[in-house]
Amino acid sequence: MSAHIETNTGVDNRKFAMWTMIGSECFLFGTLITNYMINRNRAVAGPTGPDVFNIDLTTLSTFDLLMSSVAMALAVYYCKQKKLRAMQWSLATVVVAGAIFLGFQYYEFNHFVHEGLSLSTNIFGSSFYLLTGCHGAHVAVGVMLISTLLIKSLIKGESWFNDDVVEILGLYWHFVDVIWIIIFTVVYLFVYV
Amino acid sequence: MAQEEHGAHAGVPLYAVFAVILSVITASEWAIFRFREPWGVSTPMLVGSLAVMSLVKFFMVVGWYMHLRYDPKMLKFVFLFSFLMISGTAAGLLMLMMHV
Repeated sequence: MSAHIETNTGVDNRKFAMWTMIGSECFLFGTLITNYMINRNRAVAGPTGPDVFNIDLTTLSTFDLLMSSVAMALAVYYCKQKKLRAMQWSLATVVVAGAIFLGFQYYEFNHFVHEGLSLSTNIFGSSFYLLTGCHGAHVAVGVMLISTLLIKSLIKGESWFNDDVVEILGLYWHFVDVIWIIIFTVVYLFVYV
Repeated sequence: MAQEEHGAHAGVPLYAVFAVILSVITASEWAIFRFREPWGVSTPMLVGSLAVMSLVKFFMVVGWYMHLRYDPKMLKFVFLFSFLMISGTAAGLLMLMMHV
């Protein structure tokens, strides 16, 4: 277990850094979501959201990502409780759920391209792929980071209980989930608004 | 740390309850969207209900799963300042651009 380092803010520097990064990511995704909302009805040619979206499938992928967040919260809890196996199972669940989400996104993008909506088809496609692709990239990074954590804990076993690192990575993963909660509503469910 | 104090209270039952609530809200969002016409849901009602449900999920994940509810004020400030600032900027931009 890592020792808590005393800081003059009273907050772990790494945790503070993660929250600061999350704050800056709010600006990134806020800008991308605003860009999408401004441009989504300005396409002059090609398919747009109502022509291609499959809300049933996207609801499933949303549910998948929400459950991955539950597993991540459990991983942090089990790490603090020093329950190695339970933590590893929780982390593995997060990795699998994240990979499934990426699979959904790959399928969705592939389907949209076959329907004639690519990045360069129209301004709807450009802003949609930019937003959801950027989110997907964040999920991919999260899956890689959590996989690394899982492998490290599998190799080191009981001697590895770094609850600070698990908690900080958990913050990142939950943030990715929070952004999807907004995207699901604004991009998919508001498609006819 | 406040986080550690919180660790003693939050546990599997709490996270399980939250998982059920998040699932029910997501299912409700899907149902309202899917059956908006047979149920006679007007556009303002659709937007309002979906926005409220989305916000509830947002604050549940941020408050409890990300533990911001139990974190020091400084961390709350870092997140809420950024979130409110970009929300205000987005609202301003949308109001400007919707009529262009």
